Amino acid sequence: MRSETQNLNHLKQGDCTVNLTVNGEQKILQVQPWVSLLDGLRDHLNLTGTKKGCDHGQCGACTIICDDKRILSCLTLAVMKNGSEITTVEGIAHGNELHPIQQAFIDHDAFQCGYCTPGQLCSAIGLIKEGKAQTREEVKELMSGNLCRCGANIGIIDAIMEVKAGGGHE
Amino acid sequence: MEDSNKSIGKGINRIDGILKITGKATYATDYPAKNMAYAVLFKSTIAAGKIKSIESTEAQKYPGVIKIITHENILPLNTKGGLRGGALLQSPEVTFHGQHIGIVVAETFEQATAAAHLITVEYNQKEEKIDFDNLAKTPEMPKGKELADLVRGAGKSALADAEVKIEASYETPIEHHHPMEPHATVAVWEGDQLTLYNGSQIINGAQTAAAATLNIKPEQVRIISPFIGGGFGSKGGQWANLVLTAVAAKMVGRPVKLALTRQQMFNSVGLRQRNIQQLSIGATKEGKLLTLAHETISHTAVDSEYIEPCGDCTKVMYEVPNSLISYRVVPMNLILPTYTRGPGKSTGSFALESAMDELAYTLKMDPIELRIKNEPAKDTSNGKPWSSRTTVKCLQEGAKAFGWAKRKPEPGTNKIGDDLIGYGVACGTYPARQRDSSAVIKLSLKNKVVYATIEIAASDLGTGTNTILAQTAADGLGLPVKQINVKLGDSDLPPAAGSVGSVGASSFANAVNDACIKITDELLAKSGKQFFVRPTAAQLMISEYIADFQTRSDSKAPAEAEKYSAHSFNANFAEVRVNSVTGMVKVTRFLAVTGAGKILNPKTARSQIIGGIVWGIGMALTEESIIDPRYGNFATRSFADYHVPTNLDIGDLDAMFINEKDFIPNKMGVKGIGEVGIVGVAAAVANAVFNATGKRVRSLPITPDKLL
Repeated sequence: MRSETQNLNHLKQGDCTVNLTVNGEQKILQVQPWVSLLDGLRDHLNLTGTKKGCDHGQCGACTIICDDKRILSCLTLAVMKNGSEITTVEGIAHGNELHPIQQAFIDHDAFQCGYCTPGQLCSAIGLIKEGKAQTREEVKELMSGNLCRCGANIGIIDAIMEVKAGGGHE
Repeated sequence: MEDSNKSIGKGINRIDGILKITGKATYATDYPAKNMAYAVLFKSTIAAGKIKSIESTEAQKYPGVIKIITHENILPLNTKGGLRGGALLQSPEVTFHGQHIGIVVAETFEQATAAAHLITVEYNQKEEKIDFDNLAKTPEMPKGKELADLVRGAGKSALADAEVKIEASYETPIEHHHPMEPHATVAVWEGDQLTLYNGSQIINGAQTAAAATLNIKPEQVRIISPFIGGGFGSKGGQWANLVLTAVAAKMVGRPVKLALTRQQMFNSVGLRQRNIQQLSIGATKEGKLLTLAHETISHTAVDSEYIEPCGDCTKVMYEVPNSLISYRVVPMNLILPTYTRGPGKSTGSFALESAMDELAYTLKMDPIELRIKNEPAKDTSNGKPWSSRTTVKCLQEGAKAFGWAKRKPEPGTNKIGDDLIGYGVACGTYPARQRDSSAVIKLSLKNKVVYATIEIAASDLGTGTNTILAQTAADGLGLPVKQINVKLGDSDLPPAAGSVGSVGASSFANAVNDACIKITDELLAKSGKQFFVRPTAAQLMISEYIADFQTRSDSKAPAEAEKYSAHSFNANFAEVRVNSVTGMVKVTRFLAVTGAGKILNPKTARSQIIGGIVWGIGMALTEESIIDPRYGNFATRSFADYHVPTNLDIGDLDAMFINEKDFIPNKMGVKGIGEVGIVGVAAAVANAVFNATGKRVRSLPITPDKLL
């Protein structure tokens, strides 16, 4: 845990240094404290796969995996995550080998425009890891923070159920 | 029989799927530019009046601020250049709450946002026209000729003689498109050449409107839009933000990125207007329609007219000797309404198909039987024969697949625990058209393998255009899909229609198909040989050792198409559960059966229809925007207030297609599915709610308070 004083010191210095491991790579962000993790990733690290849909934590498009948990990167300041390990949509696959959830999204046509997809994928991975949702209804409920305006909902849930049933592979 | 070697008709995975699941698909704001500046719009806080002063001294001094642009210093723009909704900062006049009144350009997004909050504006306020309920009592005639009263036979007066009458008023609320990608632009000037990275359903339309508004030539503007994060009509016609980004970039001499916030999306890019629809049906006791009147009152902007054609379905759905379709309008201090998925047809079919259900109930007749009984032999609105019509098939095949026979005709009699169960049916339609489009095919031979590149300024907003064009070219050239590269979403490519009004698939695929035929013909001529069996373009490239070859086709709809009325048709079946304690409605099952001609890719087509159903469920149950009458702004200003369906709201949805061969509207027999998918959905849900509860809700959305 980082102390409050440490963070305040950062503030006084203007730009803050945030050390992150993003998709397995060490990254240093030099940002002002009011920069969201989402804008930090997109505008400062040029990782534009993560999307801004509302900037209010209401749509889920910006969902990323931070220290093994799915979080909304628009509601997170970059400075809050110094030292964290982050996975974005760009880092889900292992090289050319897709994560099972990515393949399942393709197979089930779980997207149309694709804009909510990075968030849906990260959220799905986080949900499976949490291990709370067992039934289809539970998966639907715990995936309801991720909106899809194209209405690919059925494909999204089918894809997650398939990967859950496949079990264990990461 | 389908040819198993053909790619068309197969439900292959999206060819651009891999880019979308790895974060590599590039949307407007994903484009980098050196030395980018960030722009933020600020908006009026009154609905009507004039800006008296804009105090921006503090904002000007704010760290990182480069420029503040208002009506006082903006470059002159052509307000009649083809952008929708005004708000181009050309005068101090304010005509709606949330009209753009200025731009802050700064080094960072955060600085621009913070500085915008330091600006204070004084107005000379006028009384705003915002109270629709009151204004709708004295509406005006619309200006548009196509909206003039359409009377057949004795019109509405025939109602007096009818044995059975249904007279009811139906209301649909303001809805917002809310594509997940808010409208956004990156503008880059190089000399007097402008590149706009901007999600555009109509690539060439965005180009010409931007150019005309900026008072430059279309060839000076390039639109780049390979991926669009949804549009649903809101990225068809373009809005002020597109050109304001370009102006800001010009004025600061740097590339500028401007993305609307979600909150700004409520009053920047049009909306689906509120409609009051009066339906009057006269029929015989046997259920034959005698008269059908559909009278709509809508609102529009104070300085521009858009009215969604709610009477369109009513024009063509049923055989009826007397009819009236009319529109009246109220200009209001609200942003210009615009095309929203299934414009007019989705809202209009809610009224028409609810009224038909009311008639069926009054007659104690099955609603499917009532519809089949009134099936028209030709298009009664213009006397033209149908190119083909699938309504009856949709109803019959759907009834069988859905288990319609299990429906209990008497409402409120199907109960499990606290849940009341109901079934509803409703039909829909949307015109099938082909629009002018051009395509270039470039073939190349490398190591005895032929590759094709398809170039067309089409757009793919998630509909699957990339994929169906690759499939079309694969069959047309004799190549596997993986050897075809589709280039679209760029105004430098050959001009094409837009992904609007369900014309995309037919216009683009026919252009590519025509180009395939043409290139094969040209390669044949070049070979100078005679063949017993016509070879494919790919075979000719190899046999004649041609390294590179290309051609262009300019395609338009067949002349014959004009003589017919061509439409997609559907039948929608809904099963709902209504909790009798809470009034919550859940759509547990839904089936849409669609006759839309040739289905190029059943997988992406199914997704699109299901997307239409989800939209229809939102329209039926959750989506509604409320105006605060004190200020003329929306009380609904975020996804917390404006409810689009979530994963949890979606039950078991299914889509079926009728095997329809109709080559009259276009050579490939493609009719389009993007719009028809939502048409009839809300009515099917509302009719199911009636069947479940005995309560006829005539005002959408059907929220619990209306059922308790």
